[in-house]
Amino acid sequence: MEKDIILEVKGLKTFFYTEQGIVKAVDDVSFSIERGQTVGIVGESGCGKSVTSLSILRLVNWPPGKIAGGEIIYNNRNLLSLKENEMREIRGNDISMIFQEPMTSLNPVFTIGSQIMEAIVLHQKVSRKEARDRAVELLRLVSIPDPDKRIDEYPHNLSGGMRQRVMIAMALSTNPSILIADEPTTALDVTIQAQILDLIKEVQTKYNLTIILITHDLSIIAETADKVIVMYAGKIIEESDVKSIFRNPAHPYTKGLLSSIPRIDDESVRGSLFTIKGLVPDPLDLPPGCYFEPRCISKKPECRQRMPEFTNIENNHRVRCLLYEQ
Amino acid sequence: MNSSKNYILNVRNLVKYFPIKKGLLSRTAGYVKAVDDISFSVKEGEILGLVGESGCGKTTVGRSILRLIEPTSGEILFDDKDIIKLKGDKLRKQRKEMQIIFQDPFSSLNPRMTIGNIVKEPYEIHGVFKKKERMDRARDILMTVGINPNMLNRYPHEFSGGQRQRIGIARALALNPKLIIADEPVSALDVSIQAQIINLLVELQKKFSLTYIFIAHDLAVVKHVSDRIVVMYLGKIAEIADGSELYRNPMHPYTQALLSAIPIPDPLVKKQRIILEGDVPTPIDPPSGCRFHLRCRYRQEICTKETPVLEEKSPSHYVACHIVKNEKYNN
Repeated sequence: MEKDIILEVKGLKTFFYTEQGIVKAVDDVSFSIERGQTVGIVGESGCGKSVTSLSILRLVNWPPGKIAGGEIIYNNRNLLSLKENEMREIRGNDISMIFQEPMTSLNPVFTIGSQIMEAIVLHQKVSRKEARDRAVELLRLVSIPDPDKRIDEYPHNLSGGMRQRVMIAMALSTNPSILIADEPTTALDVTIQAQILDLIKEVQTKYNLTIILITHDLSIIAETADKVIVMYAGKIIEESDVKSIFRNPAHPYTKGLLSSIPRIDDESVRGSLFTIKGLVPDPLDLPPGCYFEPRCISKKPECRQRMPEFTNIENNHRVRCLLYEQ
Repeated sequence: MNSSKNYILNVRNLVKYFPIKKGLLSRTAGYVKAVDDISFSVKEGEILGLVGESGCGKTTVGRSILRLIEPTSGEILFDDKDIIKLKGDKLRKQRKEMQIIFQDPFSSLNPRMTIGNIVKEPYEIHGVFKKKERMDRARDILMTVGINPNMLNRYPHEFSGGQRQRIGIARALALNPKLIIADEPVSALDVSIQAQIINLLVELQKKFSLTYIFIAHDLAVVKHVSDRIVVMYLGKIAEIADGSELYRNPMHPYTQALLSAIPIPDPLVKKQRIILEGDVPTPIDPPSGCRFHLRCRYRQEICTKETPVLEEKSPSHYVACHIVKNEKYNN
């Protein structure tokens, strides 16, 4: 069966030109996403996962950030070569985004209703009355109680979970086909996180959404994603369908991450957790060869020589590690 | 839960209401009932986990034990002395025995002090050791927590988050305390660093036979380190049990929901998830009766009227719930 690719990122490079030097936040990143899939991008702080998603929407601010190369193909068009007004159309109609901090991403001086309506009026030709009705309907969709009353409340009247629901309503207001969710539940309590992840799944089915989920939390990936991309220091180091990567993690970094999380279903008491030695490298002073080499427990002398290429180890499972190269 | 010799700390009927001030004359317009009549004990040498979601009062409990905030009422017995009644010199002496590790390694270290001075400051405050000895002691402790002692003269900003948390731990250890309250010690850290700090805390506990109160919102982390776990909800204790017992046999409907909400890093594990409705209510005006009843699946008439008391439902397993019977709980 022909794969229905909705978005393809090819050789994306996003660099930050700082006084100290060039930070290659995203360095030659390529992946593709099928329609209706949930792709999880996972990694620790500074790995480039958020910058990748901001680059897709061309929201990287210059200076100091700049998309230095690559292509992002959506509907046979390269988003990186669109004019700014065409790109605004894409942001309004095709690709939406929700952020980690629902407090700071809502404007505190406007009611939630006016903020949702703003997006609708801006991108669709409707009257204010129609926009308001649509906003109420969206709030109901994301399970906000009494939507026709809550619509006139200000963000500070709402709890963190409710604010994130409003953000989701706003993101859905333009009927997008792709939703980028950047750490959507990181600031929330675990029972509220469960509610929000549930809601995201529900709207995904309803709207046949494609979701790009950015997170540091491998457990969330395990429960929600179809496909996983692991990033380290600006590079993809492993990519796989979700079952294969958790059953058979290949890269020493992925293996390390997975065995360093305490698991609630682990019955052994207080065994020592596996730890990845050392720190994420300084982006201005990256190691030669593989960026993970200084922290790797399986390293070989050749690992300092060059950055490994991808090796396919299973169907839909590739890894950037010399241990697997023939 | 009687006080016996092997309990190092007994918290009895602890209450902390924060007044809400309003208007020009700042009259008191109400109270945030952060901690509302809770009792528990900590055994010598154990790690007691304290879990709950934001606003459940877990941090307020920790700070009250250290008298960093003044409790409204209740007793906190440490070695059979009531900490709440201590003043001046006696309180200062008492504080040597109890130290805290904070969540945010960025704001909890003074940016204008070298790390050597940060770690030896407790000695100066409490007049321990001769002046010359103090820096050597600081050096030793930094080495114990895995910081190169040659970095003694560096400032906090020169260190990563994980290293700073180690420095915070060194400072807490300096006075050789009996009890350490660790308030979300790993939640600001990346996964790979989190594991390093958890291992370090467990190692130190064995090495110096410390007692910990480990406060965190992440039940998986708490279960990994703790002997016993106290689950809090909206200023009350919902359940107390041994870590593995709590996981295998959670009795309080809140604990059950909390456990089921935790994602497991394995896509092949399919589990029944209990999705709680709504948000945690405000502690200014908590629900009558059982504080959890608004979100509870098993709610009955009595839950809306009477506050359930914490009772031992099976050996060493305490639950505050009207629905749970005094026998092995069956769903």
